[in-house]
Amino acid sequence: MLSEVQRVLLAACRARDPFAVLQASLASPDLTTDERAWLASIDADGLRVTALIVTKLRFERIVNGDERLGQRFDADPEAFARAFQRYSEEVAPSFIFPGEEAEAFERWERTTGGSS
Amino acid sequence: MNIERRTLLQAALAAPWVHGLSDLGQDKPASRPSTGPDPFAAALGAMKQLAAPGLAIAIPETEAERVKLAAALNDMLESAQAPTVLALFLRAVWVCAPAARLPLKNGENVVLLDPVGARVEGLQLPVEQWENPSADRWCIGQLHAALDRFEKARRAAMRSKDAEPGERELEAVVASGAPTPEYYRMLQETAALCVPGSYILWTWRTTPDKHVRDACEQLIRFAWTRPDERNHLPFGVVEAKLEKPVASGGCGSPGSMIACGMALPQRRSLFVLRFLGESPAK
Repeated sequence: MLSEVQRVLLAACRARDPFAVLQASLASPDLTTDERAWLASIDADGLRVTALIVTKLRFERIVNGDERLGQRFDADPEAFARAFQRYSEEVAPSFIFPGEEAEAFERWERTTGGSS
Repeated sequence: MNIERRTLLQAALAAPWVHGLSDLGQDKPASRPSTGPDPFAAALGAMKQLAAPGLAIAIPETEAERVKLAAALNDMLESAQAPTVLALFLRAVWVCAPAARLPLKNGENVVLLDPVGARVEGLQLPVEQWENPSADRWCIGQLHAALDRFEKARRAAMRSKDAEPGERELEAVVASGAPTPEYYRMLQETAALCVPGSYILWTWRTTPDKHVRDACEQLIRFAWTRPDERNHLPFGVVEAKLEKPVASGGCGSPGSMIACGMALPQRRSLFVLRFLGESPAK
């Protein structure tokens, strides 16, 4: 069903190896034969680029949604990117506006200790 | 053998930091007429304008070595995070030029020039020494040491006892340290003073105080990422300027169309894309 296709694609786009996650998800019993064939035909590089774009957009929402977070990124880009990478893997994208995503990132940091 | 397209693109992006770097990627430099300004002349102009020393690297004779050097310099520029590497590009104007145009002596392939282009000292840094991108590699230490000798002599000849640009600003950064928006704004403004021969870069090299050194390193990172005319996005791309955060923006509100961040090319995004692209899969 469509919701399962969306769930599979979303999980793949949040993973560091989207294609591997996609392949592992093909066994889901909630996929129809057609859906499984369609997902199996997705190009690995295309999926990886899609995942990068999705992740990049989430990052931009965070640093543009809260000026302080943008400044923190400027102070130490690598540390911030490392924390953001973990956040994007652990927190599903379910926010509409940048401010909400920025708040979610800060909440996640408080809860998990951020980049540690 | 020819340089890879990816490396050539990186060279073009990095060109503002190393004049003539993209020329290293050509398989037969002499056979192709240059369509742009002369990199060596541009470097001399920048040195004069900034009152900065120049680090001139002789373009290797063989294609294989040219490709190696271009790749090594690109690695330094593209993957550099260590202040030791970043500061090296902030301390001098870099240029790759034909050996015949440089005041080299026997066996030398790098020469340190003063702001008017006169030879200060030469170095032997074989191409192999530029590979292995780590912050503590031998050639980086050699280049910093040469710049230290030049800077020490220059400072010994200085007569003014007034505070230098960056001196009071650095004190303020060290005294503050609280991660507030004002603090970051102060960092951004002070980072603009991390120029060749500056008080901040010299203090970073000489201070025994770890706290001060840490503050200098933070400023160096800011100076490296600070948007300015030397740090270009790819050709044809203009960085989107966000005048204010979009946190309160919703559909229909002012700025709502930029809420998702789509099609807003920013250096921050390029950094993150590179980080994510190079981060190994779990």
